[in-house]
Amino acid sequence: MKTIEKVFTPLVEVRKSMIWTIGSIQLCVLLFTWAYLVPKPSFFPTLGEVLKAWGDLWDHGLFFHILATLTICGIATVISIIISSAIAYSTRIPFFRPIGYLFTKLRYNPIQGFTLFLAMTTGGGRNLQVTLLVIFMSFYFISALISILDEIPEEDIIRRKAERMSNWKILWKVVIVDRLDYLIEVIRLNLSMTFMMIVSVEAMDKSQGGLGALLVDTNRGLNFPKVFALQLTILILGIGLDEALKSLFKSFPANKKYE
Amino acid sequence: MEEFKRVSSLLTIEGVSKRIHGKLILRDIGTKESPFVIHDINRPNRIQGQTVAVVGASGSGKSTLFKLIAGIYPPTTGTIIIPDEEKNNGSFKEVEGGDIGFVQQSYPLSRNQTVQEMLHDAAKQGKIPKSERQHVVDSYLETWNLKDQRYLSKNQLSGGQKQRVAIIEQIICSHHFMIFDEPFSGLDVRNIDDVKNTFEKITTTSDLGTIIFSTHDIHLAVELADLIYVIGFEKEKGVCKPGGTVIKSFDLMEMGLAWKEYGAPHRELNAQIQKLIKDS
Repeated sequence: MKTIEKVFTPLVEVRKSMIWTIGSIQLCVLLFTWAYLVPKPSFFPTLGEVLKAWGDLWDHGLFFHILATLTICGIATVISIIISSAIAYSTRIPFFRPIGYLFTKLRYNPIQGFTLFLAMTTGGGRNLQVTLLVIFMSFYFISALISILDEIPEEDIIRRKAERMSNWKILWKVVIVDRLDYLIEVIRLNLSMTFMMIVSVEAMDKSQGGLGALLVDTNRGLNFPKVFALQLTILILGIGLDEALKSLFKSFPANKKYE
Repeated sequence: MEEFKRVSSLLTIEGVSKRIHGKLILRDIGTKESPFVIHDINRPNRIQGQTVAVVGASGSGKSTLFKLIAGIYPPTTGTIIIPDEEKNNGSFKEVEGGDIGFVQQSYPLSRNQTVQEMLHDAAKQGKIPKSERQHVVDSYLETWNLKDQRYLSKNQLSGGQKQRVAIIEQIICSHHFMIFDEPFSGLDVRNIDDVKNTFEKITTTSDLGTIIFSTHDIHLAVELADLIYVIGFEKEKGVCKPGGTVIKSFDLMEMGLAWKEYGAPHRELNAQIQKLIKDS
């Protein structure tokens, strides 16, 4: 089969380098179209306008807003993972199982209704932002973690029982330690939802800064080149974090590809 | 017939049954009419362990029986008792997880540990003193041709290497009494020989070296075992009774077939067992 034919035939193996080449060409075409073929006048900003807006944002403290967003994301993720892991792993103990499974259903309950209540309870500001994020992220982390734990093969547990391990030690060794990489994958797979939430949460209290706060202000000003620049910034940040977490996940022996 | 002597009981199953989620999986294993006992066998001038085969159709309860014998799960009724090695005064106790090694069909290993780390864990669980653990691990890696795989993880091992690591883990923890669940399943001729050599290693290292294994290959069961239990479903008025049970046992030592070259009498026994399984 010729290469061109292969590329348009389903279920055919092609080299990775071919996929990269196709992707690069498509990206170039997209950027070219954006740069030169966007009809004017139009609300849609050109690539040049977006790049200029980016420069302006950078000169006016974009870096610190990025830092603020990453900080709140980091703090909320750490707290959320600690809480979620504790709840998820506790479902392996029969007494705590109903509580854990209840948490997985709570993700259907929108937290926006509790915003005012939480604002009054936490005192607003950064505390409110982190609390909202932690609650939101935890529901999804708990659900994802529990579904992973439910899939642990019985053979893995039996193997350790046959090695005289106590149930508590099996919980630690098999369920927690031997599946730490799954924890990282759960964070990565839920990251896009986390980012969506961060932007909304930052908009609630713009005094704390962050990309979300900046985005809301820029939108109000109908400055579309800056809006696009900020959206691209959030996108690039998200992709960067996704790739970093993917690399960390792949560094575990269970996920390495060996010849 | 080869001379041999039954010295003491290494495993006795009495009146065992097992229900899982209300369904009867096994019943009446080890009764007066059909005892299930593994004795320590002594043969003059040689180290002789015990090899027991459990055969039967799929779904007859062999794997469940093995999990009960290995102390992984308790029986619903009845007892499984072994010598109490800690007291070492001739007394017996009910089997617990870890008393008997259990090598599962899928050879599960840790996802994120190296071979060395896994064997160290096993040595720790086997209560080997910290100062001796590295030496024990080194010695097993050497004996079982896994020296070059010391720092590799599960994903980097071949099927045969995973099998050997899984076996060594259990030997280190449980020393001389091992269960193998379908160890020959899906293996090629070379790997089958590897497993046979493993059995020989275990049963010729100590008189107490005992292997219980299951297989669908009756030829292998008759070739290797000195005792065979056939698990199946008894029929009453043409209808299968619920729960697998021992429908027949064969003492190849009494029959003069144990430790002998595979020949016509073995083939006859093979055919007899196959018919039993088909009819159950």
